[in-house]
Amino acid sequence: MSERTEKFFKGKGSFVDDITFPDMLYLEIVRSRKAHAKLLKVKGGLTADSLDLTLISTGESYRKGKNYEVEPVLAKEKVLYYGQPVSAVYDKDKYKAKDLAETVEISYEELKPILTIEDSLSSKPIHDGRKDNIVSSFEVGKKFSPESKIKLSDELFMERVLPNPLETRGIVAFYNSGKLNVWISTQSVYSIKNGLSRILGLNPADINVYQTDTGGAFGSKSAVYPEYVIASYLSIKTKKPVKWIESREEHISSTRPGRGAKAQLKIYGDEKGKIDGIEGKILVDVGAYADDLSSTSPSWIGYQITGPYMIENVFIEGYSVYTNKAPLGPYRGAGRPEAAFFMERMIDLYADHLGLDPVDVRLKNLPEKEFISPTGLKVLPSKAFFEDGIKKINYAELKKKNAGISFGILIPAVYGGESAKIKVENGTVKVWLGGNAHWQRHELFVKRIIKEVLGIPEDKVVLMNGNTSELEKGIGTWGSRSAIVAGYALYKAALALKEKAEKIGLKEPQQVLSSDLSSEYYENMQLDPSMISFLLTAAVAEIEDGIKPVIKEIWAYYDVGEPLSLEAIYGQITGGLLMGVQEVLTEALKCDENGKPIPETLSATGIAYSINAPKYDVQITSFGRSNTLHGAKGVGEAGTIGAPPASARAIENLIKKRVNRLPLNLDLLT
Amino acid sequence: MKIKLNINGTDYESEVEPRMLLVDFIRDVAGLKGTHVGCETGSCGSCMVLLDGMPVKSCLMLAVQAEGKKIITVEGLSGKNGLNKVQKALSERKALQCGFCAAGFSIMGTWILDNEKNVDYQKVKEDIAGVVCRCSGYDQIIKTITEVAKNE
Amino acid sequence: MKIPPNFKYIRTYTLDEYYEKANQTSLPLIISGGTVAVLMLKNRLIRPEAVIDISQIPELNVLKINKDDVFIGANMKLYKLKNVLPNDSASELIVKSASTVGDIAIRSMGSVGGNVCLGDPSNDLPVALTAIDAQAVIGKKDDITYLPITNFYIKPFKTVLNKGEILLGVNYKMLNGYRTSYKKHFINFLDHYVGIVAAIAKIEENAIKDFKMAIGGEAVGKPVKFDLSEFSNVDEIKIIKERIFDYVNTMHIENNRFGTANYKKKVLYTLISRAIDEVLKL
Repeated sequence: MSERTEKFFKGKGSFVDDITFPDMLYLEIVRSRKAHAKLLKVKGGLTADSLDLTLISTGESYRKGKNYEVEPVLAKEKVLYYGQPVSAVYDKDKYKAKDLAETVEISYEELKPILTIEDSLSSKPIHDGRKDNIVSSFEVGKKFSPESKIKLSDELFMERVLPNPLETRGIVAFYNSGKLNVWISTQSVYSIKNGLSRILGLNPADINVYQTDTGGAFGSKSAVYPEYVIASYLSIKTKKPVKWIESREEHISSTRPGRGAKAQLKIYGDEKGKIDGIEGKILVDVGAYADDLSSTSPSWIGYQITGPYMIENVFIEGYSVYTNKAPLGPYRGAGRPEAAFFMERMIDLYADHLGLDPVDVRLKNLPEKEFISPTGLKVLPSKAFFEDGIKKINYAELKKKNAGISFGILIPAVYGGESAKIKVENGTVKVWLGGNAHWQRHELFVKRIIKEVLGIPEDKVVLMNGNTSELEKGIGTWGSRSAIVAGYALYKAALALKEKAEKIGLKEPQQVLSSDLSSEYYENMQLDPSMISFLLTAAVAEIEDGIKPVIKEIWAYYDVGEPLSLEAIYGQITGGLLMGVQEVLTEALKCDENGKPIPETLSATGIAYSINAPKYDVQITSFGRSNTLHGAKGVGEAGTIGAPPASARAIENLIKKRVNRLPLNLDLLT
Repeated sequence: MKIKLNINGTDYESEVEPRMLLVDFIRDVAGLKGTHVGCETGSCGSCMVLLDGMPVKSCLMLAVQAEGKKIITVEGLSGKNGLNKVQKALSERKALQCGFCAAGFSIMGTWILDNEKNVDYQKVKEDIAGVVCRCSGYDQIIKTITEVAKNE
Repeated sequence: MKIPPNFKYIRTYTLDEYYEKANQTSLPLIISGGTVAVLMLKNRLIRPEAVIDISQIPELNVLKINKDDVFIGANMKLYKLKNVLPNDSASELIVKSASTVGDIAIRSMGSVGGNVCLGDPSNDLPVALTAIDAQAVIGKKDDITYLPITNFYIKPFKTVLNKGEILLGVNYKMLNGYRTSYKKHFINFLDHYVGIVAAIAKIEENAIKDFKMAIGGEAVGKPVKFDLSEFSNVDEIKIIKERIFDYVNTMHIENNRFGTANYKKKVLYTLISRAIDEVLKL
């Protein structure tokens, strides 16, 4: 078996846009050009009014039991964000489909768009029947009455950021012989299958979802978007294969961005640097429609606000609010970077107020033994890790360069566990995982585990793309979970296969390889504090010519537990670090006063190009094994958690002005 | 409009609309799927091909503009002996993650190898500034191309 | 997806053919390299009746190096300039400017004509050409006009070219023994340059013999030219800077999505200062 990317160099990949069928129809979605308006007329294409309701639920039944408004498949009566799907057209020729899309007539009665969290709280509800724009509210921790000498407040904000994988979203849906077959660029074939089953009222047994080679996702390819439903619906209606490929412009307007969070926090402490408590409000802009993830985002952020620290008093009120923007989704980190940014910026504020070294203050507030935060977060002591890290990154030298430091944790999203299947066939070991790799290089840990347990050489092992017809049940790849949960499931599956082999007298790896054995394993998993990894990040900034802020160096000392694959880990860390850096400097999804996204191209979204890359210094360590068989911890989101606060602080050190809003306000340089 | 394009040494002739983009001709008429569409505005380099030896962004060209020229796509870089030097190194060093940028970096990397002198890390970093990798942070890619170029 | 609208495609092989076809077409769009034209078509910003390909017209593909001046044909690819232009200082400034356009792939497709005719304040060549007092060479049927490049631009995205007219190329006098500087500041988000500064100066016997500067970019709009004639008897770098800064202060610069007026002014001061240092500091 060759190295996985070799086929891409030969042009033999199979990304969703590479798939063609005879008689295939190309789907174009016609989208709202207003952020908030009544739809007076929609003429042309498939519209909300022309949907065959025997084939599709428009959201009401999906909404049952939910306290929030679910995005409809096609806008009906009103549009609530710029880019919301209004009509769908199709043609056998993809160029003609675009021409057809232009013939759809939409007329609007414009309403005032609500575009900020502040406006949302003070405006009429954008959803009829609600009393305001608050989707949900939470309290995390416990109210306390602080008697601390030092009380400091600040307001912090992280602008929305688009996932912007290099490959946009896409799907090919083909309904024939009573089965819906779906080829899709995705993080989880199971997410897609479950969602389509529910919305289209199809028996799960009648849906097969195949993951195509996936060109990145960073959170954007787990949800069941309207376009996927429309493509499947149209295939059911026409009995033809229907392809939809997202344009970058559509990704910018209509794919779920992440972040969009504001915090109004107060930190309490003594004069020596001991933090007594943290309290405040966290508000998240979920956009025009919500889901379970976005509506609970503030409580997830609040839950981990204390990070690695021992802070005895925590009380956070969380609110998720509607705005006339695209619905919020997870973006690499999904709440973790927000919690880290908020807490780390408050600690720096506190340290500066006392004139103490920010690292000393952080070290002083780490627990000596296992600590349960008032929010319920359980963390192991980490002082030894951070003290070691400070030495390893040579903090003394970095201080001279005005480096910014951050301490952080990475809580992997293990809940739900994972499944794995192994099938030995024709001298090859094929592996399917419930979580579908889409940039993480999971094949590297897969090969290692198979080698370790079964003794089979790496070049005989291949990780297959996600496939619901091969592996019936699974969860997905996100939240830095796969090494832990998928690695664990694979380990167990491999052990089960080994046992099966030994039972029939096959002891040697070569014998196993010539067999046709298979095994499958699924197990749910609960979060254990041993699974939480610790992150030390340092950034060195420069303000070139006094006008251009750049991050010159980024240092990471990250705990990865037992490393399953050094190459995979290194790439995951540097990729995450660069994303975290860029989010501070230029990468953000802003919209104009009408609610229209400002960036019109990929480069205009502010993503990093090669010339923006800092010098990376990545050191990994194992600060204890996780309590799984293999001992690995998560790493995918580590860089996006550690880099933003470290980079913000590094710039703050140079310009001597507080950086509490991302992306950096360039006016601070004047 | 009938046009004939020479791609990887083979002539492809077809009746197309004048508005057909070069990347769509390569992918849909010639059936070569290795060249990708990433951003549609020339901002990402996923659609890179060599046109008479120079890297161009095929999503920003009409197919008809490429008549009479020699087009090399990612498929044309590897020959009977498999992947070319740059591709082999990127593959062995596991520099790519999701793999969607394979065409972009192998076309640019090959051009750098054939045209740039005194290549170092900084030069490669600047030269590949037109190709996006969203996954890796670029470090491994730059290191790999630099090493291959230095060994030339 | 971004797909161009339908249009007729006409490839012209001579100037006369171009004039004929352009005048016959109600709304023609010229294409040379295509990096500008194809993007405009994909965005459906323009729905031309015909796209007229001028890339094969020989008069536009020439480079004429005469005794005192240079003519660059409009079709000249940006990446080629560093290999074909002479070694004088005016050419050096053009090469500096052209080598910062986009990336290697854009420069291998993009033409001088495209970069000059779009009229985007973020375009590079117009600023460099303004600094060296270049001329736009405009052709129409039976007529050629030489227009100072500063008069070529009316406002952002609008040049003097009318239907049936064509930019044949640019013409400029060579300058010897000058120092050059080209500086610009990019805002990643938004694909634009806040400020672009091109400067060229001659020092002889520790005195400033000549000094020319042009500034452009989003904060400025069409390029603005500064000349030594304004600074005669002034040979202090500090005073030159102050004079130009004073001018920038009078400019109407807006707060907008590209930045606040304060930030944009700071950018311009910084770029101007660096460029002046580079060409005048002894």
